Amino acid sequence: MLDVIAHGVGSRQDLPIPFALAVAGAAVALIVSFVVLGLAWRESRFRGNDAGRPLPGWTATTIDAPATRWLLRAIGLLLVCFTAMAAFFARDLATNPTAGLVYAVFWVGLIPASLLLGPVWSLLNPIRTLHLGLARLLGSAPEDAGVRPLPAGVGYWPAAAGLFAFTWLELVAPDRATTPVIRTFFLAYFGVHLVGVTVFGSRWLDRGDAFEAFSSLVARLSPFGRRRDGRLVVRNPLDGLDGLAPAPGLAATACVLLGSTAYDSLSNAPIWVRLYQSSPLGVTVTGSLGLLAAVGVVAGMYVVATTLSGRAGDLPRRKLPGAYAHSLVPIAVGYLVAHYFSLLVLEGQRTMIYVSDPFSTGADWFGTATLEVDQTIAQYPGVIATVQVLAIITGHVLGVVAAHDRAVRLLPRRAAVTGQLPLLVLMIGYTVGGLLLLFAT
Amino acid sequence: MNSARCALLRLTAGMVIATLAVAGCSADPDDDATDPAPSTSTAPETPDGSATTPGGEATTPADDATDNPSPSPSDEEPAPSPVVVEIRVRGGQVSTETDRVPVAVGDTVRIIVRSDVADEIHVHGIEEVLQVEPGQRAVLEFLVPEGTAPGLYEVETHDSALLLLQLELT
Repeated sequence: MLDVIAHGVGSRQDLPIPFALAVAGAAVALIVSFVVLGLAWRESRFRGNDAGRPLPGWTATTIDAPATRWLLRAIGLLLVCFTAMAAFFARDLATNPTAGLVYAVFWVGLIPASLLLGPVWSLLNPIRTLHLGLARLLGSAPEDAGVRPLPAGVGYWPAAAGLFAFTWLELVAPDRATTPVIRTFFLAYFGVHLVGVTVFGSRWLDRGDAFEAFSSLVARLSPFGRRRDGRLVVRNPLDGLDGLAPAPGLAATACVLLGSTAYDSLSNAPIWVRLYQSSPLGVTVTGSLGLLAAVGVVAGMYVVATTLSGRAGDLPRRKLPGAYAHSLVPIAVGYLVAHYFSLLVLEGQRTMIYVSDPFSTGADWFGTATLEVDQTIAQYPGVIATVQVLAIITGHVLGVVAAHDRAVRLLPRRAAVTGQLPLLVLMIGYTVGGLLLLFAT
Repeated sequence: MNSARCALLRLTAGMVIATLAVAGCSADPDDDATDPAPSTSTAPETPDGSATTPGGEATTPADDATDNPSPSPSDEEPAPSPVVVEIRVRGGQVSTETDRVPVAVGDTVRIIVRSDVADEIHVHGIEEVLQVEPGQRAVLEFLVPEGTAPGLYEVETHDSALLLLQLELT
């Protein structure tokens, strides 16, 4: 799990969910899947980036105003500078807010932020802001301020790698909640992307920055989005999801998100703990292999399912994983919410208390230093368990519906049902697996 | 999609939500079979110069897991026996009978550790610390305080970063 002795992130973890709830959840997943398969529409009905009702004029103008956008960029810079200050200059005590800021407020907080506000990290990302400033100084547009154009085959692959690296940091790295480790990681991350953005311009960050990709993938499920004609709209989240275009590395990115969350759950299981603590390879190597295996299993299952599904149609085999990649996103988001929402609520509060005194001098910069964490939600494990199961089920349902719509678009009518079965089995597998992990660990 | 299908889908959705709601409300974390409270019979060891925190109540050595009421002068409920766990750390390996120990608020927990290296044991959440010296039998006894939130709390070593066990507080 993501904590270190005497360091405060994750001092408490959620209880396993009750067996009855796990079974009920699995049953619901099964029922809904087959209902969708049997009864749902025969023609693709999602219109992707063409869908949505425009926001009222004044709202859209305010949101898109340069002032708003620069305000958000400034906020992003400030937040990152504050965290860097705590990471580099404050003592590495349990009350240092760095780990909480990175693993709870940032990583988990990006999920509700993106669901509500869209791809926020594109504005908050300090790398992008710095590059924008530099580009302006040089008098060129940020997309063109690069040495060479971004090759088409790159897609989301750097983001998949970056997310794997971050989740490795979060789940496996020794001393992962200490400031030296965190700042080393982010210095390296910053360096890599500074190079990327210098070579390829700001387009590198659209799909190459792990956190921008993460935020934009989650944001596809937001009721707010931008239509193809550039207008800000309110739309059905499934339409937004449908608008996520297949791209190289997209499926891999979703698989990393799903697999790493599954590994997080698994790494809590006493069986796994015994295994890696007694492994001759050492804790870190075994943990890394476990994470890799979890992502690999998720990805392998996905490739097999999409290949089997595609046999019924005539899309070339190598395009199949990409064609359905968007349907993994809600499942991944469901997993993430299930595993991390209590962390955000509890450790997020604790972090907000610690930020008032990052240097442990007895200061109270924001007035929160004397507050206590409100642990009410933890007093109701039944509520937590229900939220967890609902998150996984909702992700499953959205994934099944999204895959169904794509399948009826890609497959000939006679094969529409049989072609979907492998995908359905895959998603039931993910959901039952997710529920099992919540129950057994 | 025609309206009959629409209606059927909505009905199914409603049934599904109702099922989950019922399951969620009726399911109790205590329903599923978890490990029975482990206990090993240990004579009360005098801790060898290692830090112990005073337990909140006088307890008799537990012979088995069931509640042997200890004789108490008052006519209140007899003090429950402590939850006892023995752990051995040798060569970086942890051996213990149970990895996950069910506890409840108000329980006295007694953790007995024998390690071949000096280390510091930390109980997360409840924030207890025990110093361990090599070759000595260290005992940490503490009360799970009122108001501790339900959840899994890890008991780990500081220097060697080993997870010893998890306390499952329901």
